[in-house]
Amino acid sequence: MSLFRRMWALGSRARIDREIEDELNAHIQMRTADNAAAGMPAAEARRDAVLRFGNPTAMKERVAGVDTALSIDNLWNDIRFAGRRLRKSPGFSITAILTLALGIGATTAIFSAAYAVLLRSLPFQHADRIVTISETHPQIAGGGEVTFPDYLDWHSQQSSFEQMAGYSIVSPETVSLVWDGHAEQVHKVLASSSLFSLLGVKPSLGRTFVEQDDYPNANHVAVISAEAWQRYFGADRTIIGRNVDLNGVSYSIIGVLPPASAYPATGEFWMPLSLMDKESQASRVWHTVNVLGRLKPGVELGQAQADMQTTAARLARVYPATNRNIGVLLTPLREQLVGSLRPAVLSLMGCVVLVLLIACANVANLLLARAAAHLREVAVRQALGASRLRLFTQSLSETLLLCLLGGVLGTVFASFTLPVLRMAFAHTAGADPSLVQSIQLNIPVLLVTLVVCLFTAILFGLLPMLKTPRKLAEALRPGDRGSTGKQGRSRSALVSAEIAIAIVVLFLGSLLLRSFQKLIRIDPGFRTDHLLSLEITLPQPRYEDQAATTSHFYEALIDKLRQSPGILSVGTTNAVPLNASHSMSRFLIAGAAPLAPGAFPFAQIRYVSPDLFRTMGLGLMQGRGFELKDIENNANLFVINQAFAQRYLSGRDPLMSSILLGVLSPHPDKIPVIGVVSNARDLGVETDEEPELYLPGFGTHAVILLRTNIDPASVAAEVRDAVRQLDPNQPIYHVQTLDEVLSDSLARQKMTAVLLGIFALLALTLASIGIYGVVAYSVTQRTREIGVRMAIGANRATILLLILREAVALTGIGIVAGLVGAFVCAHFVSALLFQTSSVDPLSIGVSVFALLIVAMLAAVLPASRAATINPMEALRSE
Amino acid sequence: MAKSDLQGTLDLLVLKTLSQTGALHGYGIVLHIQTASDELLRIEEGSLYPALHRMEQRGWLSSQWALSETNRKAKYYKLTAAGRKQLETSERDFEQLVKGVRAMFRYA
Repeated sequence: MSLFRRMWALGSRARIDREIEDELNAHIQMRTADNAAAGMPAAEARRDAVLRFGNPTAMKERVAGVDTALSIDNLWNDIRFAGRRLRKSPGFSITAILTLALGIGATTAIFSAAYAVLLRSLPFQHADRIVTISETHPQIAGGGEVTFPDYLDWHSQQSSFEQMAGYSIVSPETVSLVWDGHAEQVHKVLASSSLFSLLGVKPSLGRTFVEQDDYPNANHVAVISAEAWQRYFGADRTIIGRNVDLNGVSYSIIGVLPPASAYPATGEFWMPLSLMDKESQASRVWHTVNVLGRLKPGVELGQAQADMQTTAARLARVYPATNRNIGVLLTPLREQLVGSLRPAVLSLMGCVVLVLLIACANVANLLLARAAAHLREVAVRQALGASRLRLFTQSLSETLLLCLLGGVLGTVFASFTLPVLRMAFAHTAGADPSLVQSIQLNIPVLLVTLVVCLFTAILFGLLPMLKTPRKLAEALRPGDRGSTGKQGRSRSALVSAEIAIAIVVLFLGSLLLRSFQKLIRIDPGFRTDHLLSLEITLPQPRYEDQAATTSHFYEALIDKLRQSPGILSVGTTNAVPLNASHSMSRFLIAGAAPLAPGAFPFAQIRYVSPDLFRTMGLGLMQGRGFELKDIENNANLFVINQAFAQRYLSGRDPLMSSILLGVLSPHPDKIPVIGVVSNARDLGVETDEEPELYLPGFGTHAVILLRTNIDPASVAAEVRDAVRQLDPNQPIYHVQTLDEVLSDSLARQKMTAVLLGIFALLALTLASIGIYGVVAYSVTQRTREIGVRMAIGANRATILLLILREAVALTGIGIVAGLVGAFVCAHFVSALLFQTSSVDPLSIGVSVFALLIVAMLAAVLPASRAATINPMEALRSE
Repeated sequence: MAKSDLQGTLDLLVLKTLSQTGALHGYGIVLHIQTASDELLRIEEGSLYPALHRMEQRGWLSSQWALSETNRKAKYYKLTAAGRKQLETSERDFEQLVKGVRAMFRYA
């Protein structure tokens, strides 16, 4: 009770004083009253009471001293005092606050990304035990989907998982939803009934799948995401039990998921996995199923991996033709969702901490210089009785104020950079969109920022304290320079450390910029300018893959578009260029030496229209391309790319070769090669050209490419009109120029390189400020020495060199130490580098050179000031 | 080794007084010490207050404004749980001190 009152009272010193006065007066009055009662005359009674009490004013001060010794009142006074001191030297304050704001702001921004991507818990139950289980093949990088029968066998034979679930999102990824007279393409997921219980996702409305939904001929039911519920059905609660039309088939909606719990994150409609087409369900050829598992408690990842590997080996023995060489890869769910973001975020985090350290070193330097300037003031206050603790809390409140102001400003900086970060990371291959969207300034991030502020403040608050003189007489002696030598040394050491750290950041920054430069110089194999891509999915069953109705639709569309003056040519294919085709197939070269089953090679297959090669700008190297009549006749003909010809047809005439497809069936198709086209980097610019097979044909899902002679984005409306004229309800989507596709595919690399470049510049600037500060300070300290030297004959050049030599020594030590650190750190970013060695000599050269130049510039300014010192004035100055 | 000094002794007297009387204002504490010690102990009255406030800051005492028996507004102090504990420690320390001093006297 009294504690609260006391805290409340502490707001003002006056209130405390009044209360103490009341208490002491009450005492004196009581004594006076007792004295009077004992018969003393009034004046005597009062005098005796005061005498017994002692000096009331002194006593009041002593009590007040006890009350306020550790109080907020004092701290508040200190902060106000600190504020006044900071306002009195705006140059120092602004430099320090801005430096800290940059350091803390950058740290906050990057940490919020690191927190969202690497630390924040996933919205699933026991997420740390959930792993993705994919299959591996020596010919295919990373892990891939498994076949439906393999998934069933994994499911029944494994012993490491509490639960296992399968889902499929392969082509087409979307189905057309007809509702309320509108048609929309929605993202569909085929999922086993165990998916939602494995993730621990409970529906917010209705139910999810039950075990019966896993059996063949399951009911046509669908679960929808909260976002889809909102977007397509206006959050109508009566939607449960109603039927919607998906690709011409009626589905009953049975449940709605809670917000932000969709898995996979792009999913909108989930249907039973058992509704997958019969062909895929029956064969070990079509790789369509993604598998998730939740480990039993206590089972290690390695144990489960070995368990699954045993199962895979057993399957390989039983089904060698399809399963030989197929392995299993277990990846923790978080790692799967983070994709390739982890190394990028970690390197950024590392570099930003280095930048923060440089910023701190700079501010520490400023504070040290100030402490030196205030040395005598501090000594005088000590001589007048200020305790070291008192001086410390005062110096602490000053740095606390600096750091908090810097922190607030930095957080504002950070809030502006987050949208940019989200945008860049959203395009990272394999990174989960929900994870990227959760990059925000939230409580944990702000708490960490606060801790960083407080930590730096305490560190800095201590620094000047170490410099307070223990021997007062020394500090008070006029013209004394005794303690500045030591002081100068610690400031020099700080600057050398700054330079060393700056070299590390510079080196990493230039490595990534070099790598990015190499990346954008890569020729994707086709012209990305004036090229528009958009997608269309024709609703089944009205249209079917390779059916006449489908061909007619596309032919009519292409005819219409070609008449537009802005459009030069139109082609269709099944995957956006720079992205893998979801269609891969085993093949054999007719007449080649026989291979053991299971050792057949794979190639990407793309279905294309006749004009695709011309539209993309792929050169026809040999033979001919496709013609419309090839499609109309359902002709089986191959055009291959050069990479295919080189790898599989060396020493043969490609045009005389045939390729066998469907090699696992009893009657493979023997398909002749009619042409060879140039390579395109169709798996992304970072990946080398892969062998590819092109077949003629139109699918229900198609990517339409348009080569234009005007701004490609401007023809999108024309395309939409043309499609509507052919089929009024038919939407188009994913409209993007190929320039956008290319830059999006490099967005993460660009972001990482640009950010590291900015950090490098920041480090360089801060280091140069540090060097300037130290050299300038040393010049003022050595004014008299310089005066003496000039008086005994040193010329300006000698003085200039004298000062510069000091700067060179500082920089030299820093650079050597920094290079050692840089090589160690470069090892950690090697995963981010493209065709760039982690000891790239050019990057080393650029970093060292840039730092030397900047260091010399920063030193020359004060040095030239030293050289123009007038010796007479310098000697008189003391 | 017992820790005790003059300030510690004043604290002990105040704590003991409050443990015997319950809530009491500063003047009352002075009077109680005087009468309870058979007029042997007299303290400078003002110096009691810094000690009271210090003990309150340490959490040994709590205080409250109330009316005195003569209808005068006065600040009353009362032992807290921590104060009672401190009293035990102080008493033990003081016994030790007295024992030690007695032993010295016997030896001399």
